[in-house]
Amino acid sequence: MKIVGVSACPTGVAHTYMAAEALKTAASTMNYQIKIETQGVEIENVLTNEDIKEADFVIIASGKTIDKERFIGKKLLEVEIAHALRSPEQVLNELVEKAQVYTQNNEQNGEIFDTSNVNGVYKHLMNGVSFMLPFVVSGGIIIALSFAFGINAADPTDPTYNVFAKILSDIGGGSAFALMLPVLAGGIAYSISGRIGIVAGAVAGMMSISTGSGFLGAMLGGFLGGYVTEFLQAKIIVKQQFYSIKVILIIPLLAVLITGFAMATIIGIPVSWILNNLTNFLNSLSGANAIVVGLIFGAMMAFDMGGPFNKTVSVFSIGLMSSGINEPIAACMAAGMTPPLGIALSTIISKKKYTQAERDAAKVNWVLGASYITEGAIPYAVTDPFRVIPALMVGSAITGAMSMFFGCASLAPHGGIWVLFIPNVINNLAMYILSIIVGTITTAIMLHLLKKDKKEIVC
Amino acid sequence: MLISESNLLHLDNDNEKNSTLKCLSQKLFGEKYLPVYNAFLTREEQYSTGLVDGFAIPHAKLTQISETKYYFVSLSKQVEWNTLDGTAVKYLVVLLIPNNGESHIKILSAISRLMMKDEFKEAIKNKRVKQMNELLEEAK
Repeated sequence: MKIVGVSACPTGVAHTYMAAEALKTAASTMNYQIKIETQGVEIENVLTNEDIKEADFVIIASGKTIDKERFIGKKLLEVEIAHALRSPEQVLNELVEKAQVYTQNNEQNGEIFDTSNVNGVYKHLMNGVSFMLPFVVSGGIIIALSFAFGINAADPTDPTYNVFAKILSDIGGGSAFALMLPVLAGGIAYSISGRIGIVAGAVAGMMSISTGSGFLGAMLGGFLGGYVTEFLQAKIIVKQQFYSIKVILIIPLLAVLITGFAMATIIGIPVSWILNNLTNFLNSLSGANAIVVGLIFGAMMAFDMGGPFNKTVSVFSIGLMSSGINEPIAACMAAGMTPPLGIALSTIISKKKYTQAERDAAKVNWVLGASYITEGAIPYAVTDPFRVIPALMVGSAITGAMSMFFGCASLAPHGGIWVLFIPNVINNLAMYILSIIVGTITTAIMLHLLKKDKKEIVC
Repeated sequence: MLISESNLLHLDNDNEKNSTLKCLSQKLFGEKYLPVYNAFLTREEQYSTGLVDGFAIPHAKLTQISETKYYFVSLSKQVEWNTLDGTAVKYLVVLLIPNNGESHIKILSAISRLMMKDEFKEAIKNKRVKQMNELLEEAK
């Protein structure tokens, strides 16, 4: 078997050559032919067209972006340069197992974020987000379009029913948004274990919806699916002639079963327990100080953005509407609007903390936030959860508290800006808008304080 | 002879990475050590140069020099270096590359490659200059 490859490191000195040497040594013990082009201070041992043509596999060990145009149509795998240094044999095994035919398209169209310079968990999360983001953007905008027909126009039993609004809602909410979490989890699993991992990840993502664990559950599910698949790939060894059965039947079946059971039990049971207690807790709040209620409701709205906490609080508030208490739902709506709005503002005032792609994508968050589609913030929370979620929670908590303090009430459970200006839907509208603006600014300030500058990670 | 006794150094360091690099920079460049020290630190911040078996390979591109320099350094104290195998570092292979000017790329790549070979590492540990030269000659 013939392998060609490229090793490169931004400083272009030691690691470039050491990685090449490590791969050469490993290849010779495994009886593979190998030739590695070293892109160090200058390019040496250049791969000829002949070399590439004859090669079965292409390995890229690099800490910087490499022009891969000449490898179109070859089976290719990219690894971190340190990985090649430390465990070259494993890298060559992975190459044979996981290499995918390189087409320029899958890079230009598929990768919204440049994932070439990042590593480990973060890389997997970024990959999941780059899979998910188009669903969030297109689905979110289509839902907002459906709101334009009237906030209940997609409901056949409502007098304002409009068939277009229903179709738009089915496309955006019923389909694109419904796929968001499975695609996120599938993308994470794909990044870990290659194409074969997508199934376990996507199923786990689907189960994060049915178990009510939301995007946090989907993130865990994606990692679980990916690592379970990778583990099975490594542990199940079959004879060459059964290899296709292994990858088509055995691994997907076991990976989906294991991941699915784990989602249902390890993640599902505690989540439903927490949610039950949460409802009791919310009930116990009746009579508490309005500002405290607003703080708690607001923070929970932002905690998981459309996930179980968010849904529990908003459903609870909708329940209160039937008893004529319309303040909590107003607080929920305002607090659900500030996360995307705050992120959109943050990408403008704290440019350094976001990649170019993140800044571009954030423009849509103005629309999603204004339409009370909190999910717009998820892609930003996924890649940096421990800094972004607290920032969003602070902004939303303040918005919720202000809305409650000013006694703002809403007769509509949803719709954001699409219902705000309908006469008599929101009372005390000016203060309501002020609450949203203050929360948005607070969120952006918190993000500025908590998030780190984007730094290029290199070898 | 590519490697001579003058390429071998011993450093009376303390057991901390940054101060070891400072001490090294001072030994090599005297009073003008600061830009060199900074170049080492910048490189380490990007990604540790720690390898395996107690070796690290700190390196830097410098405007202060006009030709490639390399040193094999034994340390008097072990230093935590965030190495690939987690061991503390006892030996440094230091590569200094001129920013513009001649870079002895052949020797650089050969030394880097040799760092993956146990024979070469043993030769460094035992200061066997002759054997180091033979291996280097071969690797070129």
